[in-house]
Parts: sequence; C-alpha cells; structure tokens
Amino acid sequence: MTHDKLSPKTIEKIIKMAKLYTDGKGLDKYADMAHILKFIGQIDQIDTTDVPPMEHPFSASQRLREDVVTEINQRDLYQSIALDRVDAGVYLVPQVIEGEK
Amino acid sequence: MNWKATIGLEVHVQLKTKSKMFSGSAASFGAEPNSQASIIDLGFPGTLPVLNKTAVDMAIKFGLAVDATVAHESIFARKNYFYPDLPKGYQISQHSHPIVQNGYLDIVLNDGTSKKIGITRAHLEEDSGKSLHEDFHGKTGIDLNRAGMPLLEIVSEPDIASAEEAVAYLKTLHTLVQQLDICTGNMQEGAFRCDVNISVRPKHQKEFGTRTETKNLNSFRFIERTINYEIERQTNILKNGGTVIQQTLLFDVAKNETRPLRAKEEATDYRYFPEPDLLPLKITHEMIQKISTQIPELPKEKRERFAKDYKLNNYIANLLANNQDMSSYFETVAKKIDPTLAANWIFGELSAALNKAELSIRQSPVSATELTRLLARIEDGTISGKIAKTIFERLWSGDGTTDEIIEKQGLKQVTDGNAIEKIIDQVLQDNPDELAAYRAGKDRLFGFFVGQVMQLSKGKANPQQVNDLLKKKLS
Amino acid sequence: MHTKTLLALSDALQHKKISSVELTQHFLDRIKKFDPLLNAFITITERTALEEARKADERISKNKTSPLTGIPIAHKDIFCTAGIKTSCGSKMLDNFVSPYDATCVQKLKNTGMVLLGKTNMDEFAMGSSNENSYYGPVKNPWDLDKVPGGSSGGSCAAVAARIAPIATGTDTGGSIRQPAALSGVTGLKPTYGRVSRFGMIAFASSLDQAGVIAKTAEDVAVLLNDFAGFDPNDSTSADNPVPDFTASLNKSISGLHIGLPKECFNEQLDAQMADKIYAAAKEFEKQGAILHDIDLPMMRAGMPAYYVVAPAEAASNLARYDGVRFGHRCDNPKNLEDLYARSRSEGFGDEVKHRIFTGTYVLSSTHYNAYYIKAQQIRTLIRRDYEAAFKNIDVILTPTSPTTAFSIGSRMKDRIQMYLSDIFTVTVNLAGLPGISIPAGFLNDLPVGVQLIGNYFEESTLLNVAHRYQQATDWHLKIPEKFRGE
Repeated sequence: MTHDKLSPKTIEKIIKMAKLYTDGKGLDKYADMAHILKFIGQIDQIDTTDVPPMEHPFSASQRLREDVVTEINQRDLYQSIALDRVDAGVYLVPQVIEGEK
Repeated sequence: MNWKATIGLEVHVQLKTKSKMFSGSAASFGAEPNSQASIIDLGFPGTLPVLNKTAVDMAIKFGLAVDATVAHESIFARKNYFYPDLPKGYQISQHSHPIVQNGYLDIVLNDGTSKKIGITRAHLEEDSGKSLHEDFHGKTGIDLNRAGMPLLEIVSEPDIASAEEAVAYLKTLHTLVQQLDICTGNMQEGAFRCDVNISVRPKHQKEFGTRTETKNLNSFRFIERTINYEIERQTNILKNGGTVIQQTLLFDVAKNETRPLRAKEEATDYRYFPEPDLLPLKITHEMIQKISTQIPELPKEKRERFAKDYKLNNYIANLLANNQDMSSYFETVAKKIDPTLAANWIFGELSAALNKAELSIRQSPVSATELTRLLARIEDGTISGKIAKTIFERLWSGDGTTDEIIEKQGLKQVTDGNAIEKIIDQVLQDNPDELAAYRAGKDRLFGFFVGQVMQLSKGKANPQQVNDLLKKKLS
Repeated sequence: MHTKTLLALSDALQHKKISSVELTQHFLDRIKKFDPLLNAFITITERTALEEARKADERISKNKTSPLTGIPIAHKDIFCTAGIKTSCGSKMLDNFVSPYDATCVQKLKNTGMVLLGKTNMDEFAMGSSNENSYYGPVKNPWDLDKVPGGSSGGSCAAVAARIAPIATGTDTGGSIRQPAALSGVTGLKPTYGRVSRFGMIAFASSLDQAGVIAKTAEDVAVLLNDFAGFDPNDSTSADNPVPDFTASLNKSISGLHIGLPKECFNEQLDAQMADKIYAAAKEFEKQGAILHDIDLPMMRAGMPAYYVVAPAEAASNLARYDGVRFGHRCDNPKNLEDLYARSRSEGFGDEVKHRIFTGTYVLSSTHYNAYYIKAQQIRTLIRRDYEAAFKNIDVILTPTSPTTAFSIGSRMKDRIQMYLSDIFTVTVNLAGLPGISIPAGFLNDLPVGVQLIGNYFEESTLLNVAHRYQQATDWHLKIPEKFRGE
C-alpha cells in the first residue's frame, strides 16, 4: 500500500469527489491525512486469506414491506425549512446543463 | 475491410408497483411536483429504506420468464455521486450481486429467423428525480416525485449486431414486461427507457472496439436512428484511420445525430459499496416456486404453440405471440376457422383497416366473433372470398351482422346448379364470337367466360361450380 | 429530587408526592443554574417540557401511566424531534427543524416522558471529547478543564451533574461508553438492531446504535424496556422479543464466567488504571463470579479497521447534505459545483471533513479492496474472536477507555491519539455486540469506567452484572462537588 505518500493531486482529486473543494483553498488542511492513511494501513498486516468480508453485523435477511401507499402529501411541511430555495413546489438550484451527470 | 458492430442495451423498466421501492409514497405518474416525495425520498436526516415486496416479486417473475438464475442472495449497493435530483447523494442499486443473472430472450427477425440474445443481469434500483430546466428564471427546478420509483435495469449481452436486432429485442422485451404485468410499458412516461452502448471493430478482430453510450432513449424509432447513425459515424472514423473516443452521447432528435454530452469526460468513480441500511436479500425456493405459478404463457411458449398447433410459420407465429391483443383475437377466430385463413384475414384486411383508421385491435369495429361468423360463411360456401371483402367493409361501417348483410344485400352465393347453368347459357348466347374462337382451340378464353358468369351473377355464383359446369358445357 | 433513581421518581409521581410539572421545573432550574458551566445542552425545550409535564400529570391523575410517565429526559441532538431543532452538533443542521420524531423518541413520548432538551455532542457523533461541536465543547462536571468524552458528551455530563435524570445517546465506536466512563455515569450500548435507528441521524449505519445514559444500571433497564424494540421502518431492526430488563437485575452472579482479554491488560495499560479495573473484577469474584484470562487477538486490528469502515459509511451518509433540500446553503452560489463545495465546506467542521476524506479515499475504486474489503474481513475475524470467547464465558470485562478524562485541547492536534481513546470500545461495534460502562472508582479525582461486553441480545445479563456491582459499591452515587447543591 502506498499510504504514506499523499500527493497534492490526490488530495485535490478526493476533495473534489467529496464536494469539499473550493477553488484550491483548504488543500493544506488535509496535509495530515497521510498519517491517518498510514494508521489505517496497519490492517495490511493482518492475514485475511479466505476470510469472507462481513456482510452486516446483523445476520438476517432483508425484510420486505407490503406494497401499500402509506404517505400523504406533506410538501408544505417538508419545504417549510427551505423557503429560501423553493418556488412553486420545486427545489431550486443553480442552472444545470442538461445531462451534466 | 469489413466492419462489425456490437450493441449492448441497458433497459430501465419502471415496475408497476403502488408504492415506491423503499418508501410508502405513491408511485403514480403526473402528480404535482414534490407532492409524492416523503422524507425518505427526500433523503431527510435519519430516514431509512425498507424494500417493497412487490418489486422483488416482479424481479423474480422477470428472471423466471427469461430463464435466468434468480439469486438466492442478492445485495444492495450504494452508487455514490452528487446530483441535485439524487437526494441522498447515492442511488440504492445492486452492483456485484444482482437479483437476476444469466438469462436470455429469443427474438425473431423480419426474415423469420430467430436469434438468442443473452441477458447478463437484471437488478433492482431506485430512480432519481427530475431536473426541470425551464421556467425558473435561469435556475433549475428539482422535482423528486420520481425519486425512489422502483426500476429493474436489464442488461443485455453484447449479442446484438444491428439496429434491426436491437429493436426486435426491445420490442420483445417491451411486450414481455407488459405480459408479465410488471410494467405499464408507457414509453412517453419513461416507464420503459434505454441506454445504448455501441462499438465497431474490423470483422476479424476479437476484441471489442471502443464504445460510446447514448443515454435515456424512449422511442423505438429514435433507438433505431441512433444505432444506425452511430454505427456509420464510428465506421467512418475507423475507415479513415481515426480512433473512437469513449464518451456519453445524446441523441439530437431534431438534427438526427448523436453528440457528446459533455466537453470533456472524466471517468466517474461511483465508489460502490454494500448498502449498510439494508440486509442481504435472501430469496427462498418457496418464494420462487410461488411466483412461477403466477407467470402467464410467455411469448416464446406461445410462438412455439402457435407454430405447432395452428401450423403457422415462425414469422406470423412470432408476430402474434408478441401481441397479446392480436393473439387473443386470433385464438378466438382460429377456434372455429382454419388458422391460416384466420391469420390471412387478421394480417390482411383487418390490419390494413386498423392501420388506416389508426386503431388498435382492441378498438376494432369488427369483433373477433363477427370475423369468425364472416369466415365461417366462406368456409360453408355461402359467400366467396371476394364477397366476404365487401361484407367486411359493411361490417366495419357498422351496417349489421354478417348474416344480416348477406340477407339484406342478397349476397348469398348461388349454388343452385340450374340457376348457374342458366347464367352460363346466357353468357354463351351473348358471346358467339368468343364461343367460336374457343371451340377453334383458343383455350385461354375459358377465363373470359368465368369472368362473364361471375359478373352476371354479381359475384354470387359459386366459383367452383361455375368452373365445373362451364367445362361441361364447353366440352 | 435529582439524586433519586427513576423508580423512586416514578413512585413519587404515582403517589402524587410530587407532580411532573414540579419535577420538570426542578430540572429546568438546575439546567439554568448549572448548564452555563457545562454547555451540555444545545436546545432547552422549556415551554414544551412544561406542557408535556402537565399532560403527564393528567395521565397520572387518570391512572393511565407507565413507570416513565412524567419523568424528564434529555435526548442527544442526533435524534430527530418533531418541531424542535435537531442539529447533530453541526453548523450544517443549525437551521434544521425536524418534521418528524425518531422512532425511539416517539416511543418514549408515548409513555408520557417529558423532553427537557437536546444535548450537545461531537459534530455528527465524530469525536471522543465533545470538542468537535459547532456549539462549543462540553465541560466535564468533575473538572471543568477536562473533556467529558464523546460523542455523547452532553448527555453524559448532564446526567453526571444531575441536571437531567436520564439521557439518550448513540454509540458508533464508543460514543456512549467512553464519555460515560470519563464522566462517571452508567452508559449502555445495546446490541446492533435492538433499538431502532429510524430518525437517528446516521454516522456509520452498520455501527450506530442508540442507547441509554443514566445514574444506575437499574435506571438503564427501566428506560430500555420502552426504548428498545422492533421497528418496521428500520430494515436492520431486530424482530426479537424484548424482555423486561428489570426482572433479572438482582439475579445472583455466582458461577458467572467473566473473561479478561489479555490484549487489554498488557504493559501499555497505565498501571493505576489496571489496578482499578482489577479491583472491579475482584468485586465480581467476591460475589461468586469466575474470572478467566481470554484471548481476543484481533483487538489490535479493531482501531484501524474501524477508521476504514466508519468513515466510508459516513462519507456516503453525509452526501445528502448538499444545500438543496435542508441544511446550510452558501450565499449566492455561482453554479452547482460552487453550491455543493461551499455549502459543504462551510457547513461541516474539520473532523467531519477529514473523515469524509478518509471515507472517500477508501471507497475509491483503486483503494476499495485494500481498505474497505480488507476491513470488512477483519470484522469477520473480530466477530469470530468474540464468538469463540462467548462459548466459554458469559461476560467480558475491560477498561472502558485507557485513560481518565483529558484536558480540553490536549489531543486536538493529534487525531490518532484522540482515536485511541476508543481502543477498547470499537471492536464491540464492529461485531455488533452490547456493551456497558459503569463507574468503578476514581484516579486523581477523575472517574474510571469499567466496560462489560455481552453476547448478542444479552443486555439483561450486562444489566444484571452491572446492577449487582452497583449494589455492592457506591462509585455511581458520587456527585461532582460543584453540582451537589439544589
């Protein structure tokens, strides 16, 4: 594992992916991430050959819900905490170019 | 050099449930924006998903219908990306362990040949919301009614080589999901939509060429046009020694061409990992057994039955098998009538009339029962095929039943030998020159006399009897 | 009044020796008087508390009660409470008024409990000192220059200072047990799935579990009876029967097998701390329990595995805070990217951003197998260790935390040092087991906690063992000097 090296480019890539990046600012804040990655990299020392990854701590099967409508329209309540960013029932965001996903 | 195209299709089928995949919100179409978005659909802090049983049943049903393996354990995963119509910042989907694996669909092409198209997988996932790009003063509006709607994404093997095959596959799939009653099939509402992956390579090259992906197509016509356009575009690039760029495209309907979605494309890292808010979905043998009893006759089975029981050719059998309404219409008629005669009429007169009037067979003014009566009159010799066409027109305009029209218009076939003889005598008497020429050896004039007799009888004389009697008279 | 147990308060209420309004007012007065020293509360719900108390009194007068009717409680500000600000200790949710109640909040509301307010916490429950709160650090009632532990530091400090009779908390890697130990109170993290997570703001979904912070194990049992239970809205909620946790509190522990993991009692453990823990073990032995040395070889892999899994889930769970539908939104976003990046970098604090970084890193396709899958394999090994141990023993005993409360600011520069406060607690979450921390003495006037770990769904056993200990000791009855007066 290459956990003790963390280039500014990698840092930039990760914080862009996590949507924390603002115009190159704050990159230096993550400088100590190399320590953390080195710390968690210790798991490398454990032999896990043929060990299945834990699926979930709660070993049961997914429960299924009957297909019934239980919700009523509560749009006004849910949008009451976002009045600065709704118009005619829709949430507004800066313009998105079609398909820019 | 010869070129070969490979097409992979990812079809998003919206499952016909009452409520959403992971919440009790209504799953109907066309409601006021955000009126069907609960705190779960909106991704409010603290909310959790619970899986809809009917969506699972529907996925199992589909898996059984395409001879696939229904996984005894499948796992939900989070597909992480940021987009305003994706409220949680991840989509709950299935990644490495989908519910349906390794199935196939038989398609029949226009020349009557069949082809097996593999289905790599089908997995359950939730839909995203909708971004509305107009009317918000330069901003984008977000409507999350669609967020959390249940989808089954069906991924084909790269077995498809042309637009014709792609459309045949999609139409077969489209019919199938409706017959299974798991999807409305409404393409305008986006209930059945498709991403198309296309690559081209030299015919003898083993590895696939670089592919492009065209997203969110919801009409068979656009899909066909996209594929043809894209194959040609890529072939031209390769022919000229260029390289195809792997990218996501949009089909521009107005310009009839594909174009890149974004200027530059960075590979998205979706950081898939098992959804910790859901447990592994275990499907028991009993669940599968129970659902297998709910599966109606599938198009493939129906096609085979039609070919065997009704002696129809593969092409006709396939057309019928893939159209529920037409096949039930056909089966009503073919119970009492020769199946070939029934099929000829359904695909002949009836289809032509329906097309002209832009009606579906369900809306046909001539019911299956009525067409049965009409064809029965041909079979029992009451009327000739030609007269039947006239009567069909009357039936179409609602002028009464077959028998009423025959009665009213006096269209009943003349089968009385004496009456026919009288007409023949009249014809021979009226055409002495032709009679002399025939007798002198001009055999070809036989048809002329038949025609004259039929005309004089206003088409009602039984053609077989006319033939026989005429031969006797002229010999 | 504030020193009484839940059952004693309940008795006083039922026999109308005191009204719920009086009791509630008493605690509200204490909060007003003492919380400025502690900063244990983010929101005090005085008005609604008194309303709820009046309703509780009505119920009591009609004899339509449960043992909890009329008793005040404080909820960690991670639980959604309808109509009340639910901040999760973050600027991101400073403006968030929840439209709904968490299932466990609703269940306690149904009993007629009275909500005093929402307690302070590390932002999004990420922290071991309560210094990562947007609302400022919580002070340890035993020494106001020390941290109370975290992330449920507000709840633990409030109970320790007796400004709330009982409180809720959540525990992802030790966030109930570690602050309970550092603050000198009793804190239970139930088995994963025992208490509904619906309405509890997610940090790491496969590790998070709601629990109880109280003065005594008995109080925990009384509350847990109504707090625990199956919830159809949480797919990971256990559909197991909920026993009456108070029924077996007094059971003899004679013949009970208690395991002491060698990995916890090695040369790295402070000798004085070790003495205190051994002393607690001796008390159990005195009551007839049998002590065993056991092996939990994977203990040391717990910390790094935890700091892979928890941030991975957190990075994904916190993606919903995008400034679109709720929460902090930056001013005048230039475009969509700007809306996301500024809303998130302004709304989240430093520790949260660092954990999102780690989580994003370990989930990215190039690192997924080496980190995420590997850590999940280690979880399997950890679970196997515990399963093997529980074949021969009933309860495992460890220190809750390697040290007592540390000074505010002393570990903020060194994240890894901070993380190591949870070294004895994280594997319990990785395996999904129940654990409890109980007061077991003092070191330099600061509380020491001992942790008991039980098998799956064996909260009754833990509460029984803890209760027996508390019957024989009085560490849990000590009140920090500054908060002893009315």
